[in-house]
This record gives sequence, structure tokens and C-alpha cells, in this order.
Amino acid sequence: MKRPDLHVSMSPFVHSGISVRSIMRDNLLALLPIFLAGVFYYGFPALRVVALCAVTAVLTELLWQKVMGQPIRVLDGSALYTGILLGLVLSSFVPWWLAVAGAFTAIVVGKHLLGGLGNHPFNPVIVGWAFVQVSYGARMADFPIPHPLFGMQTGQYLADPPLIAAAEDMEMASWVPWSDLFIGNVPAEIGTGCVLAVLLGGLYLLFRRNLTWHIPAAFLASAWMFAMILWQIDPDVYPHPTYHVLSGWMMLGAFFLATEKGTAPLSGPGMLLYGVGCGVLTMIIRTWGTYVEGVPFAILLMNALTPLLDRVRPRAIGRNVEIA
Amino acid sequence: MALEPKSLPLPPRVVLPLEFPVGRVEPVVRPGASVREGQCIARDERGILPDVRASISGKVSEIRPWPGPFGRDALSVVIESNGSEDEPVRLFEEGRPARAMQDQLRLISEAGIREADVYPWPLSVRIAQPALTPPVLFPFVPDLRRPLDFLILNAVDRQPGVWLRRYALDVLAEEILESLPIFKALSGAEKTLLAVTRQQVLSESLDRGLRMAGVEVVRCPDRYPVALEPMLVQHLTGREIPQPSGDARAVGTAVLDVITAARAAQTLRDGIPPREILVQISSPSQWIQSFVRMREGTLLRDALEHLSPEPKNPARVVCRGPFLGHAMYDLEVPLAQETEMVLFQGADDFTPYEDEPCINCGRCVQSCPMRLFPNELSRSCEYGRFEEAEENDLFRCIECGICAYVCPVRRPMVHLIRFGKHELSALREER
Repeated sequence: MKRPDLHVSMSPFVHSGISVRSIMRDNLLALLPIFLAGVFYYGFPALRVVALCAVTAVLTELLWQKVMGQPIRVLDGSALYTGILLGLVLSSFVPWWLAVAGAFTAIVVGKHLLGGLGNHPFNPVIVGWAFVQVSYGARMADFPIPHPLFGMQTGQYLADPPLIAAAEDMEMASWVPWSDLFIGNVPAEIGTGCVLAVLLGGLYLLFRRNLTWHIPAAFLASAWMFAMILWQIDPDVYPHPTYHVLSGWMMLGAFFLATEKGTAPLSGPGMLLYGVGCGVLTMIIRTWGTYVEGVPFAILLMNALTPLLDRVRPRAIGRNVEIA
Repeated sequence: MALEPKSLPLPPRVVLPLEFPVGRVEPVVRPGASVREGQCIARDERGILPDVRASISGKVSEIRPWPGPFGRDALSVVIESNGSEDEPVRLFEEGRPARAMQDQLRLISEAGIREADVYPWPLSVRIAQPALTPPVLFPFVPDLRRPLDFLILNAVDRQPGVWLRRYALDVLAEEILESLPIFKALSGAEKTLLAVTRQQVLSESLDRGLRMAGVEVVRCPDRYPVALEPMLVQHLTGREIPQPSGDARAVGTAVLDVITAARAAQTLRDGIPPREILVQISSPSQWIQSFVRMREGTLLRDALEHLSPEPKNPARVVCRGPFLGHAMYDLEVPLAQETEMVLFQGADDFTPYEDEPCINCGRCVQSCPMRLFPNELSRSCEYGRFEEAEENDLFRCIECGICAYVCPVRRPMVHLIRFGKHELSALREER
């Protein structure tokens, strides 16, 4: 008797339908409010920078996969996500070649040379950013005054991002209303200003289970507490902890940069330690470092510690059970 | 009240596998021998595994390896039917049921009652109280001296898409109620629980019977893999079964599914070994969902002829369920007590596994019920680093398949993990 043509495989025989593409679609949706907030405050130049980064990242990945003879996976959206996220951490005033150079480095060095999707030790966005920051720092330190639409009052009292303002003049910084920090009505990079938008995106990712709460919660809580200790010591020198958490890369870093897959630990305790490390290092760099913004360097350092932190894991069920 | 299951006519032949995940039994009949239904055709020389009994009357035509319900060929006895329903072989005279607990345990084993779940020990070893199992007989079962605190009757189906136990709670309610005092006595458990899903509706008579029998009904979330033994025990009693032995006796619990309980109760009442099995036939894309009663060992192809509507043009046929089952390469596979369900999938119903590198998304780590790191395990096994996998609790994996279910790059996680376990066992044997 002829055998029917049956497909044979191992269990399970059903799949959730989750794919790289669906994960990246969620990630991109989470970036949407941040991107819109950036365009709302900083206008067309913001759109220009993000678009440049996105297009460069996608084309670079396509080129890389063609040249290296890899299967073409550029449509899975991961390069697009990296590109857009890189655009969001740049100022809208950066020249076009700087955005292109950053995106190119992020994809080639940060992502593919170091291992490919999910296997790169460092966050490719920060690798790309670090390259242009170290090479052309001065060109990136120019931030636009927000000019929101719909008759909203602009935060013109600040000429620099809140962290720089606080470093230069604490008196001045203490006048900045937290509500303006929260809605992003201050000079900043395209995507880091509006905390509200970042929170929206982050909550969406939590809801979609692309993230767990561990890293963002540990990151923000430890940074806040560290800043609280400093503020308790001398409120005239050190900004208020909430000011710290609401300004700069803190929110974007906690939800989007520190959680990059492959660069962060996966076990619960590992993620908590990693988050605490990020938060504390951020505050150390912000307070005593050369750089005003500590988040990207803190994340890069903790990325390097990830393989170690991944060894910290809960006991497997059924292992070393005491038999009563 | 649920619909009665459809009963299939006598099959022309049955195939009864003699090899199981926990061991094999030896045939006691020769090819050419005539057998009567209910007659013992194979038994375990060590006296541990249940006997195998003929499910139809006829002639043993051959004893040879045959594709089995566990996804691999198993030595099987093939019986050609003589076309008539004979008076079955009895285990005891009519109207004189066994009252002594020792005899009841022996009968459960002799009647050939096996379970759908894979346990380290057969039913009669797992549920018997210490007084009933002479340790001399089972020196290799470490925890038989421990009294049972909990007996858990499991009416929660093992995996999504299987409805058999919920269905049995309706159609076999009478037998299930009958089994309660028997198993309470046999196990000597302090507490007897019936695990049902949150949505389960219990009929009034069942509810009353349960209360009278002193059985507590506990509700579980209908969320895979809560019905698997380690999870169920932990969920209901808070006790953690040691792995990889998976021996629930070590924590004073025994789990028994309601279908097995009903079959045992029926056998102890009538003295006739069960020859029929209840199987769920599903083809979700063709909206086919039916429960069928048939003789054990009926070949799937023979069963399909009598099914209407019949699942058409399957691209994949899975016995034993979507998460824990095995894909069949042939429709000539016997449906056994362990089969539970047959799933038919069309070519569009599934996406094949891919040979892709892990992207460390961490979804498998988040969802692993045993708190393992499937991403690492699968990589270690893929690259032949088996010792490393073992250090990372490879053998504590219960192969529930959730990691493969959520994997965005569709890595064949269970495949790799089984491969690793297999290679390690082979290495052990070599030494």
C-alpha cells in the first residue's frame, strides 16, 4: 500500500506565531509615540535625521547580507528598528553625514561584525552613537529649542538640555518645572525629551511581553535612590532625583536601550542586578564623570558584564529538592 | 449532558504495542495462536508493568515491530479478527468482585490498564499505600515506604486542544464516582482532590457524589502546562517533585487521571478487562472534533473509514496531542490507551521548524515552567556540548514544548533537547 506523504517533525506541532518580524513590528510601534513627540517638538529636522538613519541602516544591512552571501533578512525590521532608535538619540541639528556614519557603524560594527541579530554583545545603537559621539562630539552638542505646535508655551527658559543646564547652574535648573521635563518641552535629543512618549512606548512593550519589568524598574529605581542620597547630602549641588530620572536618556535607556535582546541578561535576578548596575553607573558618570549624560556608557559597561550576570539564575524546579 | 461517543464496529485487525517509554513486556503467545478477547498476550517478567490483553478475538498473525503511538517502532502483536464478538475472558467470576486491596491492585495491573501520561512507574506502584507494596518486590523504587498525603484525580487535560478528560467527566461520571472509594482506600491518602479547570461545569449528581465521597474539588487555571504532573502537584500542594526522577512518591503524592480511574473501577466491578478506548479525533482546520470509542489497537486507517466527516488530505498526523505528541509517518498506526487524541493538520496549519541561530530574545526563559534556560540548552545540544547542557539541568526538562511554541525563529527546541538527552544516555551506556 502506498504511504501517504506525511510531514514528520518533533513536538510541539503548534506555534504561537511570534516571529522576529512581529517582535520588531511591536518595537517599531512602541517607537512611534517617541518619534511623533520628536517631530512635534523639533519639527522637520527631526524627521530628516530619523529618516536618514533608518534608510542608511536598512541599506547597510541589505548590502552587508548581499556581500557576505547571507540570506537576505533585511525585511524582518530589525535594521529599521536600530536605525530609527539611533535617530532618536541624536540631536535634530546633526549634519546628514553624521547620521549616516552613525547608522552605518551601528549596523556593520555594532550588529553584524560582533555576531548578528541578538548575538552582539553591545547594543548596536549605542555602538553607532558612541562612534559619532567620540569622533564628532562637538557637532552633536547642539540642541534645538522646542517649538511645539498648537499654541503650547515653549520651554525657552532653557538653552541647553536639562542635564547640561543643571551642571552649569543648579539655581537655574531648580526652576525647570517637572511637567515640562515630563512632556519633553525642553531642548533634548529627538527621542529623549518626551518622557511621556517613552513611557507610552515602554508600557506597550511590557503589555506585549517584549519586555519584562525587571530591567526598567531596577534601572529607574536604583538611579532615583542613588540620586536621592546625593540630594540629601546637598540639594544645592546635586539635582533632585526626580529631575535626574525625568531628564536625559534615562527613560529611553531604561526601556529601550538597556533591554536590547542579546545584550542584557535573561534570568530574573540577572536582570535586576543588571538594571541596578545601569542605574548606579549612570548616576556615578552623571555626577563625577566627564560626560554629562551617563546612560549610554553605563549600558555599554553593563552589556560587557551580561555574560557574567546571566550565571546568576534561580534554582531549576526539582533541583536539590529536600525530601521531607 | 454530552453526546455519547461514536462507537466504531469491530476492526478487521488490531495491533497491540509491547514497548512503552518505561519498558517492554514479553509476548506469551506465538504467531498462529488463537486468542479470545480479554486474554493475556504479553506480560512483564519482572511483574511491574501491566499485562497486555487482546482487544478482539481472532488469530495472532505476527509479532513484529510496528509504528507505535510514541513516535517510534515498537514490537507489536498483530491480531486478525475472527469477525465475531466473543464472550471476553474474565478476571473473576461474575458477581464476586475482589474485595481485598492486594487483589484489586493485582487486577488493575493484570487488566492491562495503562495511562496517557508518562510516569516513572505504573499505576499500581504509584498509588498503592506502603502496606500494599512489599519493598522486596520493588527495591529500585526509593520512596514506596512513604505514606501518601495527597491523591489527586486529574480531570484537566494535559494540553490545549485536548478535551478528553473534561468530556469523560460527563460521559464517565458514574464510573469516576465508583472509583473514588476504591482509590481512596488503595492509596490511604489523607486527602483526595479532584482537579478540574476553572470553566468546568460539574453536573449535580457528580457534585453530590464527590461531596459524599469526601473529595475536594479544586479548580486550576486552564493554562498549559498546569495539568502535567510536576506542575499540578506543585500548584495544588505546594510540593516540588524532585527532578529528573519525577517521582511524585518522594513528596507523598500520587496523580491519577479520571479516565484511567474510570477504567479501573469498571474492571473491578465487572471483572472484564477493558478492550475499548476513547479517542478524540480533531482536525481544527476542517472543524472536525469528535470522540470515538473503539477497540484498542485499531489502526488509524481502519478507524478513519468509519468516521464521518472524515479528515481529508492531512499533511501531518499527530498522535497524543499538539504539544506532547508524536508525528506519524504512516496512517497504519495503532490507536492505543495512551493515544488520547489524533490531530490532523493541513499543509497550511503549521509552520515548519527552521535551522536558525538563537536570537536571545528570552521568551523561552520567561515561559519555561521548570525555570530552565532553553536557549542555552538548545545551543549546547546543537553544538555537541552535552556535558555543559547537563550541568544546566538538561535532564530536568519535561519537554513540554513551550519554548518551541514561543520561539520567534522557530528553533526545534524539543528536538535539540531530546537529542542531547539521547546522546548523553548513549555515552553513559558506552562507559
